[in-house]
Amino acid sequence: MKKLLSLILTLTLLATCAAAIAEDYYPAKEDNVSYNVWIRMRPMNGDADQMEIFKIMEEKTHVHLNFEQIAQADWKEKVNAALNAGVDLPDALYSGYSLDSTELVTYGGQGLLLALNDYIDQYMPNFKAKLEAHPEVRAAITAPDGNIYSLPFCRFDGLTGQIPSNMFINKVWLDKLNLEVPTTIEELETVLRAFKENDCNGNGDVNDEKPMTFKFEGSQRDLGGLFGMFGYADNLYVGQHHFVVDDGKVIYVPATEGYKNACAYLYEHFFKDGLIDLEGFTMDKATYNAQNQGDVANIGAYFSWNIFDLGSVHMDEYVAMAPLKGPDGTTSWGYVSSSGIEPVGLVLTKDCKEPVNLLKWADLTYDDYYGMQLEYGCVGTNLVDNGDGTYSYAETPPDRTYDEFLFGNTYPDSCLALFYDFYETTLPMPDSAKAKDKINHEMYLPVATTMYYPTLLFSAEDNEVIADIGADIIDYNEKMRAKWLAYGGVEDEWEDYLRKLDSMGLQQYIDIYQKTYDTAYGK
Amino acid sequence: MKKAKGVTRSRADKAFDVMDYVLLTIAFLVVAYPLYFVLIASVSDPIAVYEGRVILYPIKPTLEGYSRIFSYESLFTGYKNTLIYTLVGTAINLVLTITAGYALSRKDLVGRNVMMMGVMITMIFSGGMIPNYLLVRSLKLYNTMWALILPGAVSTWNLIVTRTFFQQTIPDELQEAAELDGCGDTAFFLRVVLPLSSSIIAVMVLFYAVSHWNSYYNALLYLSSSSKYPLQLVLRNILIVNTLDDMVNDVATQAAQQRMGDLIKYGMIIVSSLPLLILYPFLQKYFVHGVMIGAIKG
Amino acid sequence: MTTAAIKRRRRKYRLKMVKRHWQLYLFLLPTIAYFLIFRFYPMYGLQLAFKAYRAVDGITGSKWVGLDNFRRFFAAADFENLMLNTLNVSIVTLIFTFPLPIILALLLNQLPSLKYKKVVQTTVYAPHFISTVVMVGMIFLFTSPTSGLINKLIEALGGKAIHFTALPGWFVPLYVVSEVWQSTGWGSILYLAALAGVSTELHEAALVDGANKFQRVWHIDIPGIMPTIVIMMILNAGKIMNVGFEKAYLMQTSLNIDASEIVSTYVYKRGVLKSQISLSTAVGLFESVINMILVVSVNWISRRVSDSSLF
Repeated sequence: MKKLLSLILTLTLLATCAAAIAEDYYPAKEDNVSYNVWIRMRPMNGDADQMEIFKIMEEKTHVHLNFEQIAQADWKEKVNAALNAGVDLPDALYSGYSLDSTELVTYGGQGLLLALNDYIDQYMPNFKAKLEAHPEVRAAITAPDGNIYSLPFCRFDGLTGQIPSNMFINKVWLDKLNLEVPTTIEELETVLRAFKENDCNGNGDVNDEKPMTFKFEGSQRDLGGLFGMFGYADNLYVGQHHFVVDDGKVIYVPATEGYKNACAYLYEHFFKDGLIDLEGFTMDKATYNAQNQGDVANIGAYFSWNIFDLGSVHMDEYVAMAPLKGPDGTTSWGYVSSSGIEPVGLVLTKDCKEPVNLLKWADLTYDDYYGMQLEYGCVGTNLVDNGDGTYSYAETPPDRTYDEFLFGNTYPDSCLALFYDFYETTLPMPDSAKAKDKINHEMYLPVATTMYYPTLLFSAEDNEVIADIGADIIDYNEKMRAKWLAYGGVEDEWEDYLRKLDSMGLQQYIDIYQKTYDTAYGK
Repeated sequence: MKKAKGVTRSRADKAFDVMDYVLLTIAFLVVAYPLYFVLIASVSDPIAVYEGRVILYPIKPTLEGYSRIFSYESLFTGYKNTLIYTLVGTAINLVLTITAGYALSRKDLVGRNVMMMGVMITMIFSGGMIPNYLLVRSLKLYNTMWALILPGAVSTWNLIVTRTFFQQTIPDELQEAAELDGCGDTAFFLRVVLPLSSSIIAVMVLFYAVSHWNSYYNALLYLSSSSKYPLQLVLRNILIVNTLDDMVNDVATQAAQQRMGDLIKYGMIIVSSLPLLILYPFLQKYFVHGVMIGAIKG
Repeated sequence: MTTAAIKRRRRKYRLKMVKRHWQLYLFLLPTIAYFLIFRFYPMYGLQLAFKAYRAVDGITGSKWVGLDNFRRFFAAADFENLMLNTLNVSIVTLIFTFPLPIILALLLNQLPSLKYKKVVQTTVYAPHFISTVVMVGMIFLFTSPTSGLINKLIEALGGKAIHFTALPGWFVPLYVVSEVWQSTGWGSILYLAALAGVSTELHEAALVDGANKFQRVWHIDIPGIMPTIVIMMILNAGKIMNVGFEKAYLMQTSLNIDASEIVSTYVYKRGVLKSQISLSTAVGLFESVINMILVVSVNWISRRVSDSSLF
């Protein structure tokens, strides 16, 4: 009897201790732990001080975040001014993309940002678990000096999936002209010509149709994917630097033979006759977005991360188009192995005196239950609890769009990590993401053989070289590509072009990328 | 300008006048059309604007842009703040610039050339953003109105213009006469110079007020409470088209944002510059003619 | 009198002047204080042109690198082109934006109808309030090959549409025309105020002598505002290298970059976007030195040629 009693007593004591430990994992409410945090507000975000998710997290962790809300438009100037002056810094910067990777390494290397490695090991169990399950995340956020200066934002759903850019074509026009969705480049030419010569949208004007458009900038609207029909797909998406990796070797696409052939062919067969819109080179973003929004559709085909980018009003007329076979029958589309990882979410500055509690707060966002609510809205408002461990999206109220409903209530794209398994078990992807995921899996992934250079951090010295040499090379390259596509002439100028790239330091540039890749992914 | 009695306009004069009218009318049209365009674009369907269909009149007129702009409460705080900053700022600017400009215009001021050199140097050389940022911080001006007003308390450009004005309009003889009469510098300034300075004061008010009204950069750097934001900063943040979220998730948002952003873009110009456009005609009457009548004899 | 004695005399005179006009120095006091605190003191930041700035080291603690930053700048792949483009834009702009406000002011001043004068005056300075972003947006809109007003006019007159923003040769004309449009009216304000100070007595006397308007403008108005003109010219010389980056940056397209890449856009892309403070300070210093040389030269010339100068 006594033994039983003492057993019960010990167990109770242990239980109380366990509970007590759990309870004082977080600071006590009376301690009034609070941090000054600069938070970047996107145009559609509501008031951060009112957001439910932050209140829920504060309830649980007893950590209060004193937000200074800075508009996205003002963010970069203000943050850089403060960090460059180095005085009176806030405790932390909070937002997806709060700094770009160059800034991260530069400021981190100078000691303006705290190195988080040890804290992650000791105080961030959730995040640590994620890192163990997904080592590519660790590779993406570790600077060459071995330090981790930021907590990332990871989301592996269809939207930020592996294929940044897709092609879309107007099915209604195709049907009207009795044509099939093209599968080869020759068929594309035929189709685009037909688009140009006919009054496809039925408004009586033969000339208002633009067979194919694009936007010349480092984004998913660019036509870099077409280059895959001649060799490597050109990488303008990640880091805008034209690098791809082939079996461990880093290749600079604009110096390859395939690139030359692509420029020649595209000019000869498409740009010369206006099948691809020349204005793509000069349009500003607003003008580009305004295309195709009128009463009738006037764009035949375009590139984007999702169908409604230019479709929107006429979305139903468009379908996705699989990568086309080039003149020699082959094709290649680009994919990103590390897409969905944005290395810089939360950073702590050197003026943060007691980082531990803030990091405990941040760790909570890597617990999927809270990360989900941060990204998709709170259970009860934007999400519905199905009762069986899964959740679904609440109906969007009629007076708002889905995005307004989402961004007004919560703070997506900040710091959390949601991977495919989460979407399969707990919350399905949003509809738009699902659609893109399907397209990617069915049409693009099978032929995505060009691996874009992954998201990696470079050392401060390398960043300087990239800033100088790289900027010159990129500018020269963009200039020549525009010229050759719009006006032709690549065959004649190719040799000189390669020579000039060499004199600008191309080999040194490539070496840096190769070296960084080797360090991160091991040889 | 009144014509002298009895003198008829010669043929050369008539020709001049005709040319004057013609040239100014051309100038007027060339300037006015794009302004008119901004006005009609601010109430037209944005797609029509991009398609080039808005030329002489609004297409599918709508006041959505304006109603959206005015639905933001922060707009009114913005107006209020800018009004305060402009009034206080311009007052300080005036006091400093007019007094210093006058002093520097005096030929008998010892050290004058050295000071002008100094002024010139500050106009051309600047230490860059960081020292200024550190200075504002260390003077504890962060998040106060003074961070917007003090760093720009005197514009070298305006100072030089003021000095030139005084040099041109206050003749030496007047000064000498006053000195002989035993009038001190300050008294001379207050009783003689100021009353004659209405046109330079008007110009300075205009230049400084407009500069305060349109400024946003210092506010961006140094203000942390949004309740202190001036108009331009508020407008910048309301305008979403150039910061259009690229990664929006759904169709309707995309279309709605685009449309609203474009409407707002043009409407913003009207909303922010209307008060200034009204200010100028008031100041115009201070550009007085014939200032020095009767002051100098012989 | 000996030189020493002359010097003593001069010093005594100067001291006398200072004592007599002590009140003027009081006038200057707050302004001098302002300049010392907010303008001269921050110039210690110029040393960053010779250092590799790190925020943690502060400005004084950062490492000295001598002329490295300048070397980086001069070694830019297209350095000559950068300088040429900058000077091209700047000088052509000046050629048009300097005289036009003067002419406008003279014409406005002579306009017989006061009402018309007021209308034109008020309209013509309004473009000054349009922000650069909107201005460039309008340029792109009006020059669009498919939907722009200008090309529609060209086609109506039988010509072929020109893709203005794709041609380097059109960059400077577009830039200058929009500058003229935005700044002429505003620039004329100062001259109008100066013209108000030209004595009407002189005009009346000239009228009696039978001078026509043109002669009066040429012989009375223009000389009357000449000091203002000269000073403005000197001040503008001091800004030659400062072609602001915002407009050029917004007007850049991949097809016109040969003409549109200027020093300030180059520095922005490398300096600000990648926080390379030292580089931008070095370039700024370089530009300032050139500006200073120009100002001193123009000032010297105007002192010889006319009565007015800055110092």
